Amino acid sequence: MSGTVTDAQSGEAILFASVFCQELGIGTVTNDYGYFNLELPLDSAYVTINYLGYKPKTFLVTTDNVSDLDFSIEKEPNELEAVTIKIDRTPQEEIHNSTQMSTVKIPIEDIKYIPSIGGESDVIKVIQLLPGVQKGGEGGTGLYIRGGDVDQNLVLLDEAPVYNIGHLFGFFSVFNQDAIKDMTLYKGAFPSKYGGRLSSILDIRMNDGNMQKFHCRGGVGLLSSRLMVEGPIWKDKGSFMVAGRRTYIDQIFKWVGSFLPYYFYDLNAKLNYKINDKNHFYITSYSGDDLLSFDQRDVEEESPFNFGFSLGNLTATARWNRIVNERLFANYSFIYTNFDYNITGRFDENSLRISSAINDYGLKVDYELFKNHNHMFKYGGMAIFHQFRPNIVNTQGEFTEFLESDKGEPLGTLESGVYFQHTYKKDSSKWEFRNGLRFSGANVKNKNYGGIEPRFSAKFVVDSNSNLKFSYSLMRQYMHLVSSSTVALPTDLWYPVTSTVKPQTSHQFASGYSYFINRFKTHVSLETYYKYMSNLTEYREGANLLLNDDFESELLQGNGESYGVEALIKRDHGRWNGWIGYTLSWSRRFFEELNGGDPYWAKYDRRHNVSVVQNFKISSNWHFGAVWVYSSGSRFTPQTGLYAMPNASLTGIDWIPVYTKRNAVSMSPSHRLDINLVWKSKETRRFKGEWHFGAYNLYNRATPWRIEVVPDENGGFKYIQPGLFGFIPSVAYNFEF
Amino acid sequence: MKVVCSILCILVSLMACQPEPLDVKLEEYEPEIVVSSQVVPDYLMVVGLTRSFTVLSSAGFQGEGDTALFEQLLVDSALVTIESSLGVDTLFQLSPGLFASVNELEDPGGTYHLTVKDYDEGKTATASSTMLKNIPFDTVYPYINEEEELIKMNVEFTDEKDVPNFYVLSVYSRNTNNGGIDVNTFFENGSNNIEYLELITDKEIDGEKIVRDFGLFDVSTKDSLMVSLSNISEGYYSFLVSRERSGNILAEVTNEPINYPSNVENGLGYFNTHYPSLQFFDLTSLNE
Repeated sequence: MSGTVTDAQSGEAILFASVFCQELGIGTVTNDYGYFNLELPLDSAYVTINYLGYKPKTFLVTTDNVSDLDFSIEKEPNELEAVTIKIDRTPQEEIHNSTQMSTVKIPIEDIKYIPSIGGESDVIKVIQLLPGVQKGGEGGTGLYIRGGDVDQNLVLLDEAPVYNIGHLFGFFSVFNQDAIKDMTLYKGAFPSKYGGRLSSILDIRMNDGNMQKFHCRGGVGLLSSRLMVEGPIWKDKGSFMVAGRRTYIDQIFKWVGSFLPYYFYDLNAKLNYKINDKNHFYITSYSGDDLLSFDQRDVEEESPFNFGFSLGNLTATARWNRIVNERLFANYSFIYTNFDYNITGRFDENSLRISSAINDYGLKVDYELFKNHNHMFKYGGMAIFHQFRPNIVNTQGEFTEFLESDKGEPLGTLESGVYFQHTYKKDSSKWEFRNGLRFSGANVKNKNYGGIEPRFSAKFVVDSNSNLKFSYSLMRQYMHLVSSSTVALPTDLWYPVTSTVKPQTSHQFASGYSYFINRFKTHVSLETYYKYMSNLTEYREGANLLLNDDFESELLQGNGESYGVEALIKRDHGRWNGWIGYTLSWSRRFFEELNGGDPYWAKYDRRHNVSVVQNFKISSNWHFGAVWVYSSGSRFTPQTGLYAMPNASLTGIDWIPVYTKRNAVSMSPSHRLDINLVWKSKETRRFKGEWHFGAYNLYNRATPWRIEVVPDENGGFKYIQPGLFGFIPSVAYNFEF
Repeated sequence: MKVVCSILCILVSLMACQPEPLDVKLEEYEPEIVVSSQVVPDYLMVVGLTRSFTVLSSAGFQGEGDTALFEQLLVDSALVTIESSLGVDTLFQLSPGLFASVNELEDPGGTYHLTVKDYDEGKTATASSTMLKNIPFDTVYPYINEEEELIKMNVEFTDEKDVPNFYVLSVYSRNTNNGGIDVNTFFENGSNNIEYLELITDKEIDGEKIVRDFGLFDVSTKDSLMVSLSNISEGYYSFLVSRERSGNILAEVTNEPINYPSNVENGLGYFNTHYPSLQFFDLTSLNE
């Protein structure tokens, strides 16, 4: 039997749903597009479809009715959630049962009550609460996964890469919760279909759109508002989804006669059309920008000065899902991504414009062959053309004297890959294997790079509840981020490998123990990993990257290693759900030309990390969410001394600071409690409304981000560690109809 | 409604508390001897000695013009020797923190070994530096570019072939009313102005003629100039590159902090013995 599991109310495909035959003890899960295939070697059998938050649906499958079955499942009524222990299968349970490890899958429904700055759920901030994931600076969207760097994460939105995942210098992510269906984070044991980054793949899927009826969801917060509308274009055949979000603090300031010329917005749109049972088309697009436009004339008439920047992503995916036959599923995708920034300035008749851009045009083909319940094959390929236009400068007037116009050197890179993956399980064996091989390559400026990327995962069934898992992945990366290492600037730029800058590679070994407590639907996992990374990129000490066309001369390549232990206890549903995560980790770097050639700790090498994320349904109207996080301090290079040297004119002195060795000091540990209280103010058959009252950093504790020297009470000086964000209250209203 | 919004904004701003910074104790900083040096051709070799200090010092740094603090840092009681193939030379003290030798200099390729014994702190620092070959100017002259209404400088010299070379080319100015510049008064008569400084490597131009023609934007025909060309070691070149790169506000804000390279054991700074080629010009003659 084969088919696509869908939501009965909306017609949306359900990913990772369980399809299980109790009688035969065999089952499968739906793939990334909701499709499954299950071989039943009987004339008739009962099969149950399960998914978190849905009523389990059991069929009697016979040879006569197998082609007429309806695989849609209905959502569990909310009233039951509070009082029953459901028997539905959770995404984490499916991961437990598969060879996949080092992976966390989170449906968007699971995070909507998790507290966050501004009262709006943020998928990236939730990812930062998982074991093995370090955040960068406080409040930022930087992801440092298993000791990797921030540019080693491939973030995909409906298969299109998203280069800039943060708004407002990284304090908000670009993902609007109303437009997202679910997300899967791979930290290791990478499936062969993924490649191009060393440390993680974050696969985010957008809502398909409701095929049955019109539906609207949105929210009004202190910083932004959002709205999502979805509905059928042709009932049961096609649907659309449009979602938008915009900050409006600029408009409020303008309204009250003040001035703050900054805002950001996001627009998501998706169309899908089901031609017949075997062919389904999807078109997805995302557009988002940060916009600053400061015109001095707004505050002072006839002022000659203005300044602005824009920074944004545009992605588009056209996808065709095709069921070639009962055993062969195919996906074809055309992908376009654009990321660019523009900085403009004008003073009198003099003007300046600096811009950079990257455009990707990609094609991707994936096949899934369900041979039988012992063998499953996945194979396919991709090719993506990256077009880089770095540092285009246009100056007029006197600006030309110190900054010449420059068209920037355009650069094209073709990155490609083919892969094959075989999942094998013998009926009588306790072992299950997933072997894969990927061959990837990149061509730039007539220089070719390439190599094989073996992937291996194995599961050993200890007993009905527990498994041991092992994996190895080799990853190659053909792009890197040109950025200073301390702050995220809008001018951060992606750049490809060149004849002298070699691709980064990593070898990652992981092993783990996975235990599923069926009674409480709770998943417990303990994993260890070791990752060795080669050809990591850093910049020469004091490198100037702004408007520098010669990045290569400023780049250094070296190696790194990271290792650690991660523990996760996760309960996906029930009146009380959430997770507790703990990470013990180390991450070091080895660069001959940095830190005097001595090894040094990575900036976000934090020894201990604990996160406690809890949701509690107090009653049918009240819901409480809380997050408590503890982290060892990140690394810092503080100034400890000062000395004088003759200056360049040899008749005066320069004062020169003395610092510790690179990242030698671990700042103080930080901990923080965030809460969110939800009151469902109105709930009818047609309308749902809920108020969110939240607090970030409830007990106002500083999370150190640097070390400074300040005068002390005794007339001397002392070191202090300031934090960025203290107690921040929030209130938001979300609605759905 | 406006009032409500205003109140809401203010309320949020007020309630978004800045958290109290956390105190932290770091390992106590141990002051070190700081070395600088300069060879004045056919005149003397000068070694400057100061001490570094902790940023937590109660006599902490008060700003760029903190000359009182600088005077406290000068090494006033020390034995300073330079050993070379010509023997061991004990430097005499010119003034607090300034030690000099007027003995004959090594030939190119010879190595100087500096030893500093700081009697007050009981510390010893050492450093070694090789005297590199003096590279003369082929031509060097200032001129007035009438079209641009600008005083310009033309410099030409020939790179030493098959040897990795690093050069520092600099131009200093002083108003002739303040006494002008010559080799005897370079450190006297008030401050010189640095008009041009370029660090040059022969990485891609080995053995070729190196030509520079540049404008001196803040120089007038009432000034005198000194043009200096030094063939320096790779280490000292790295030291100067570090200083140049970290010397702008953007680098201070955006880059990782860096410690300047040093060739001093148990100390900081740089002991170098480059032998510069110098040319002096009185620009009042350009009016003639």
